[in-house]
Amino acid sequence: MIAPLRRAHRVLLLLLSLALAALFVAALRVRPAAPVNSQFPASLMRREGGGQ
Amino acid sequence: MSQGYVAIGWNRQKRLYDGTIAAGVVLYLALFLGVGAAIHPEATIETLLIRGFGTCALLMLHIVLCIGPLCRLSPRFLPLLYNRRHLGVAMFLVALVHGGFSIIQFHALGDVNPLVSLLTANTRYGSLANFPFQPLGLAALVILFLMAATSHDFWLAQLTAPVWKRLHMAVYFAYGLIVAHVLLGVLQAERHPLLSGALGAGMIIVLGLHLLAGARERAADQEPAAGAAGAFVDVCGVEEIPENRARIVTLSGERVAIFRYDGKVSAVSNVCKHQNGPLGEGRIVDGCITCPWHGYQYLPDSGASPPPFTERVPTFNVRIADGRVLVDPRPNAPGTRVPPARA
Repeated sequence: MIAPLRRAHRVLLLLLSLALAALFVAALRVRPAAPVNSQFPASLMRREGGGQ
Repeated sequence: MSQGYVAIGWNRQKRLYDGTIAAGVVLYLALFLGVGAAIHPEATIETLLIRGFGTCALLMLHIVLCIGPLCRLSPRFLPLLYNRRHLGVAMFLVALVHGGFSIIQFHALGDVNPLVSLLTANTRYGSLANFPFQPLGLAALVILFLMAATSHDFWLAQLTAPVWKRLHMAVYFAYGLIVAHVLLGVLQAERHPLLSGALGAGMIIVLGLHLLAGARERAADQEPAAGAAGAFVDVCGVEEIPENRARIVTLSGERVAIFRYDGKVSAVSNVCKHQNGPLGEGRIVDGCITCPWHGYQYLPDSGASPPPFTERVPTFNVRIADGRVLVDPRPNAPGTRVPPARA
């Protein structure tokens, strides 16, 4: 019972590693040249009276 | 073991372990807030708290995930495993503070339910650069909650070990969600190479250790040459098994722990009933096989826990001929007494 599970875990782990490595490369490649993200500035803007 | 349940069975080691966790979290947050405020004086305290708790939880998750493979690579790390659940629950609480602060900060001041706002404010699922990363964090938090809520032997017994183990293996799915949450969230805005480098290094360490441990175990799982069907298999010499310890071999696809003690040899399944711990990496203490993970005990000749405990593991028939240990690869029913072979 345990041995097939262990093999399945190894395969899943390998797939997870490959998927995360691909995501890591892709996510860093698509970053905008300037540090702009519409989901983040709210906290910084609030201090200056803007934002929400 | 399983005779009764208390919220936490405190002992000196657990207090020390939990004290170290609490001190580490406080020290990390103090350092993060102090250094963060000095480097980014424009950042608000809310932003620093959100990021401080978030990075702290991420760091703790990496430590939690490294403990398992480290213990498989070297028994020196076993003391870390003993109380890993407390570290996992502490990590969830830190992540919960991060999530709670984030929802209040970014979603609680409008006229929409904060959770609805979190799930609907950004629906650009087709864009990697603008991907809605916050639902990824929420999904991970839900998984971590389920794990933290069931991190007790009571739930292990109620759910049964296979179901409980599968539920807790979801931590790897949660890890993937959290890495994506960070990559598609804060790292889209913060371009300092130290940040992406730290995440990349963490991923390499966590995944590398798991792959290394998996490769080691795969090599160890090579089976000795089997004879005719139903025949005993020559697994090792008696002298190759250290006194009061075991040698682990793989027979018919499953690991078997062969213990030598008091001039006798017995073989049981290598899998502890508690959390599938490796019994063969434990030793004989007070006449009982003692699991190295959480101290569950079994009698070596019957595979049964000493009364009043009720756990049982399968046993295997053993013979000794010309100084060699021969084991029948067919397991007996859990708890079946087998006369030990005389070394």
